[in-house]
Amino acid sequence: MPDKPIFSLRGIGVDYPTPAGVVTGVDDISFDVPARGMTVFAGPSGSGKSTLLRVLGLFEQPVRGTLTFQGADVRKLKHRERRALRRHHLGLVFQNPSDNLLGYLSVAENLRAAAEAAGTDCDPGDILGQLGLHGTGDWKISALSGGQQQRLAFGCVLAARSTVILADEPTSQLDEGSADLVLDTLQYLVDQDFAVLVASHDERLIDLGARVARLHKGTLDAVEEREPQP
Amino acid sequence: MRVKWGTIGQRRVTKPWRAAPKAALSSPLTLIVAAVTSLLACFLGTAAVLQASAAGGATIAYQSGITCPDSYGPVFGKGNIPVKDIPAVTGAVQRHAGAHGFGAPVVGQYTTVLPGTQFNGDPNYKIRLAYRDQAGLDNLSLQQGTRAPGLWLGNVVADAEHIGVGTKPSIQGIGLPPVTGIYRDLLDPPPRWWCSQQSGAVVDRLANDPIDSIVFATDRKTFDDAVAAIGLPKMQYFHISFYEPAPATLSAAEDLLQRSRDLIADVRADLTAQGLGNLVAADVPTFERSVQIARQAQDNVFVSILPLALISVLVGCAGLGTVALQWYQRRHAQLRLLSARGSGPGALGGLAVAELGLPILLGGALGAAAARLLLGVYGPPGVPDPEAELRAGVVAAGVLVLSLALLALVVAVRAHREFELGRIRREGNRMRLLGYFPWELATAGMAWLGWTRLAHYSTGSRLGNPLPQVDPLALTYPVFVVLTVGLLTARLAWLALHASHRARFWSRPALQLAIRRLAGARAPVTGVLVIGTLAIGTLATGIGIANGQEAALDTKSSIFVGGNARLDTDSPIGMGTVAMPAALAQNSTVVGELTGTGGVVLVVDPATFTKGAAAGDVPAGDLDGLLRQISQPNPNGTPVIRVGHTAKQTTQLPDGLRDAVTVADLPVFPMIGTSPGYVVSRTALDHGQLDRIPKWSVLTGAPMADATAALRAAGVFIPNRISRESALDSLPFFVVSWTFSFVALLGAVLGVVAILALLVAVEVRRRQNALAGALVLRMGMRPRTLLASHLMELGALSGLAIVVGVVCGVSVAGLSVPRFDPATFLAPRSELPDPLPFVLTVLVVGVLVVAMAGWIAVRSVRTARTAELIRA
Repeated sequence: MPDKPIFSLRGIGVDYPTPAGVVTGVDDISFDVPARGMTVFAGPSGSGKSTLLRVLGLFEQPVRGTLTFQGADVRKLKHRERRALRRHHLGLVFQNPSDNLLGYLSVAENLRAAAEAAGTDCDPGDILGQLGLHGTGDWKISALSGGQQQRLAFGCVLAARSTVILADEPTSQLDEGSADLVLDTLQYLVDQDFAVLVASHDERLIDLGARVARLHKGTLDAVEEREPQP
Repeated sequence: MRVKWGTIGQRRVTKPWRAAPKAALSSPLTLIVAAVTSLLACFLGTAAVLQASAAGGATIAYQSGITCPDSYGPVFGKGNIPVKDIPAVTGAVQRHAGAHGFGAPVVGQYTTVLPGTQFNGDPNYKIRLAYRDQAGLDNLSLQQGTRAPGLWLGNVVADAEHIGVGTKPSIQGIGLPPVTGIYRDLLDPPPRWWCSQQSGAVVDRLANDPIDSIVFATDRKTFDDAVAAIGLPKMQYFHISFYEPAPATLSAAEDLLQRSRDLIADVRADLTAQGLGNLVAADVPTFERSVQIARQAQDNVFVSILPLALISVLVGCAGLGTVALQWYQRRHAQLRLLSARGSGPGALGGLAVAELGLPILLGGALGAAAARLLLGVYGPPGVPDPEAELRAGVVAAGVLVLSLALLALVVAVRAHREFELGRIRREGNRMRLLGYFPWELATAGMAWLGWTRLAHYSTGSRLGNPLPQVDPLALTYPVFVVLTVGLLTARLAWLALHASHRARFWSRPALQLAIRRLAGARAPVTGVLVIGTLAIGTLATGIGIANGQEAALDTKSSIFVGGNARLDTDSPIGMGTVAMPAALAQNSTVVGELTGTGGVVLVVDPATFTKGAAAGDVPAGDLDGLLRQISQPNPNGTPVIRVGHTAKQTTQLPDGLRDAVTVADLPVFPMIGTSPGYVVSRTALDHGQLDRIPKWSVLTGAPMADATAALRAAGVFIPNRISRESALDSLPFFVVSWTFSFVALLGAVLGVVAILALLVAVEVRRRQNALAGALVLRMGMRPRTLLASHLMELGALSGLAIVVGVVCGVSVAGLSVPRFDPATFLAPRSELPDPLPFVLTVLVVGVLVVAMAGWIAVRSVRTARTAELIRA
């Protein structure tokens, strides 16, 4: 029996006010996100990938359609309930590695801060070990490479014990070697049964996805269900 | 059914908040800007309260100076009081004084004139027997004898009649105590301690006083025994007062006043119980009025500076709002991360407070402390009330709380809109509507209202009324004009920059780049422009009006008196039979005064006039030349300088002088003012004409006390005298001056803000400037042209602020100063002091600021040329 979807999108539409008038960011997106495995939103720049991820991360309120999380209508939640949802269930990883970390805290302190934010506790050494960042707990963030920083960002999601990971172009700011490390991390998270949602046009990352939702000019072109490449 | 997503709301202070103060160190510029903004806002808020209170203190100090020193507290007195009732009154006052915080009362008793007093066998002396507590000890100048119990006789009679120590006087055969001392007679005006006792203790020889001498008993027992022996039923003057220290603050004065009223009430009740209820008059005769005046002066200054203080605090808060926005931009990634982890807008606002709170608090505390410590520099010369200091502290705390709340609110609102609402369409934009509102019309309306009050301002002032004739609304007029011009300039600049894309000056790339840079930074450019215009405008207005009133007071009193001091004398010194004392020879002159043909004719000594008289605006060299001209004989009449000429002025001169032949016209002249009159040289008059002049005066640049002593030592009789300091009631001038000194202070602070804002704006754009500069240099622009382009940009901004601010400020001050003149009945009218030094100072500062900002703008261009372009 297939998993119950963690996110369910029905007819989602987002409009942006611009000086030139209202622009539609995404329109009529209907889609179910399973509770485990990697879902990739793929498409060229301006196709609405990041907008959709912002909607799922509760940063953006759709003007049309319905979004449910674990069956609950997100639009009907109060702001504090949406914050609680973010705090305990959603882990966001942004494009720029340094944007995902607090630069004035050490590596271990960043993990602890993420756990504290979610009201949990964590063992930084254990998480760093899982991510291949042994011995960096006392390091400053600036001492890590971009790839290491991005992996640490996923470590913060682990520390917060989020159930869903939303990553926006996590490899776009990295060189190939660093991107490989991030791909390994993403695979590790998928193996740990997280629901991983990634917006990307990196083909290697798209190849990792069990589901690939192809977006074009704000609309959903197709959803491919497939066996991820090893 | 509502779904619970775990714990809602975090109450713990987590790591990012705990580490925030340390994290703030990563951007020292933001810390400094936040601290300085808070410092200035708290400084101005605190200074406004202290300024008003110090104005009250200064008024109290001024009023204390012109009030008798025993009139600050209660005064009990009665003319012709029965001698038998005196102990009851004195006892009642003594009994209750301590309970109200007063020291020992000082009792003064003066008998009626006692004719038939015999000294050395001559029974024709007329004396007044007197006693005043402490008098013999400290406040009479003993020339001969001791302080042994007995009587002290005035030196004039003692010397003239050879009455010495040891003489035993008597009255109609009744023996009096012996003379144990000869004191120097108290002359009019007496020393300050005796100020309230003039009618009893001073022999007015000019008024043909029937008394030969005031004879003081050395102690109360001697006095009481003598009065009892003579059998006097009544005491002519009876006076009880207290020599309390002059109150330094308004609240101390009000406390003294209240204690005085309480003591009077208790004494009245006591006397009423003894059946002597209405025996004595009791009051706080002049100081009650002084306290009223001080209260009004304080309220006037406070109300007048209140709008300005509020505006300045709001400007400070707006500055902190800008700091909050800048911090939000700089911490955007971190805020987004924390928001993604579930932190709410309130918590993110709290993070801003955690990071910038300490510098804001330190800056605010420093500002409040600086306002108190520098009060003596910028404020009125008075002591503020302790309560006012407390209120100032509360204001500073309020400004700090408001600043911190604003910081948190700005960040919270932005975070809520960006991270919770997203980019959903919002109905309308209220903030944008606020921008469209014509605020300049509102301020122009207030300015017009102030102007209508100002038009009648001077008609409300009149001689003899010490209450400052101040209309607080009228005092706000100059500020609202400057504000209107500032806002109008900002709106025009905003529109001009909006339309500047139409400007095509690519043949002059430096100019074109300067315009584009200005247009690209429209908001900060407009902000700096409006603050700069306000700063220079308020500075020009404040300095102009404050200095104008001080100069007016100085000039009016000098013209009114004629010099630093004027001592009316008898004719020997006027005629030259008594020479001017050597101590006054270098800075004094003698003038004669004739009246009788509708104007004053002043007879001056051309050789010394400019040494002793205050020539006002007439240069001494010019005046000397004119005086030489009127010293030359003229066959057609008496050569004169005509003053304040009107059509009604006749050429006829009084006392048989030949008709006036005008050599020159002057609008104003010492002693004459602007009234119609003539100035005649004494060398043009013969001895007989000089002899007929009824009134002679010495005009001197020396202090009054020195001049009086020198003339008295030379045996010159001085029936009347007046000094520049006491000639006019200075308070109305001071109140205007104090108000506008705060305006000037605000202008100075705004000036600092404008300079810092400009330098910070340039520094913040440094990398952009460096990149753009490197690019245009690679495109072939010469470094000198690039620097010129930046100087054009900054110079245009500063120049516009200077031109608009100076023109507006000086014009407003020029229009306002004559209307603020609280003594229009005295010439000359108040006028704006020469604005050139101010304008030059502003220009020099402006050039220096532009040069520094230009250097900051281009300093990184050379180093950025390669590395930055690659990174970009």
